[in-house]
Amino acid sequence: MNLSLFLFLIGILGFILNRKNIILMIIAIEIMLLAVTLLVLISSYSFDDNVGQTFSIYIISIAGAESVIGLSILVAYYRLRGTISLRT
Amino acid sequence: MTTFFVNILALGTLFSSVFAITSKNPVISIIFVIATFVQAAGYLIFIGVNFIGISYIVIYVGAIAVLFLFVIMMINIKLTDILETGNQYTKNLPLALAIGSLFTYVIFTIIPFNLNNVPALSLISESLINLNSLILNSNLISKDFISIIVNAYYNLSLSDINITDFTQIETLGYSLYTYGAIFLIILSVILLLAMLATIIISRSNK
Repeated sequence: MNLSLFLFLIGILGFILNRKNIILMIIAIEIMLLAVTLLVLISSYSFDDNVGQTFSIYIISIAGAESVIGLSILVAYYRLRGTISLRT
Repeated sequence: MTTFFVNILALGTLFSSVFAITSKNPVISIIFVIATFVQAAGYLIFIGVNFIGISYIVIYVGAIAVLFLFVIMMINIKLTDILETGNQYTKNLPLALAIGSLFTYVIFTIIPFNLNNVPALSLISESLINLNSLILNSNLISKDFISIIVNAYYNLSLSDINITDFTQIETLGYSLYTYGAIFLIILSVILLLAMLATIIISRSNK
């Protein structure tokens, strides 16, 4: 449980500290989703429950859809502006 | 032995995620993200969640990391555009400190920190207890102690033994298709919408 909490903290810090690199912000969101899924999986496995694995499949699919939309927005932004820097 | 591998994989997950958010080049960062996901999948497999661990490697390394690499190779990033140095970087540091300390305060108020939660420390205490009982009554070097060592080395993990036992996947499919079926339908609609949104956003409008 400590592993997933520290991983979530690392994801939050990566999201805050890199306000300019938008690829790294999407990577930080992926790390946070990994931490949440690890927390759900580990606690449901230690309670000998099956619902956690079902929900982890939902979370993985939502994470895939989210990263796809984020990256396509990134490509459209690059096509409009010519750069991906958030701060001008 | 399993505890040792679980500790090594947990430590490797934390270190490679730190390297992923602090590296300058985005390609190196993606490589460290792949290392993070592979080590987290190994952690899950070693503690016994087999199917989700393997599907983590398939989904994240096979699909999402390749998608990130494709986008990074497709757009032309100048490294001086996305780096923030000196004054720009330390401007965000007080916000990061505030949010990090608030997060740890809230989490450790809800869940009090316990030394039994850390596997490395509990491993040390268990070995100390074993050593203590070994010294106190020395006729304990017998079948028990030898069987403990043999079990620690040869009884590797549950994932090695249960490789042909599909009960975990069976129960997962049962719960996914009975009471979780409506969530599965909503999920498929969300994935379809994601595909449509990607096509519409990246369409070149002439």
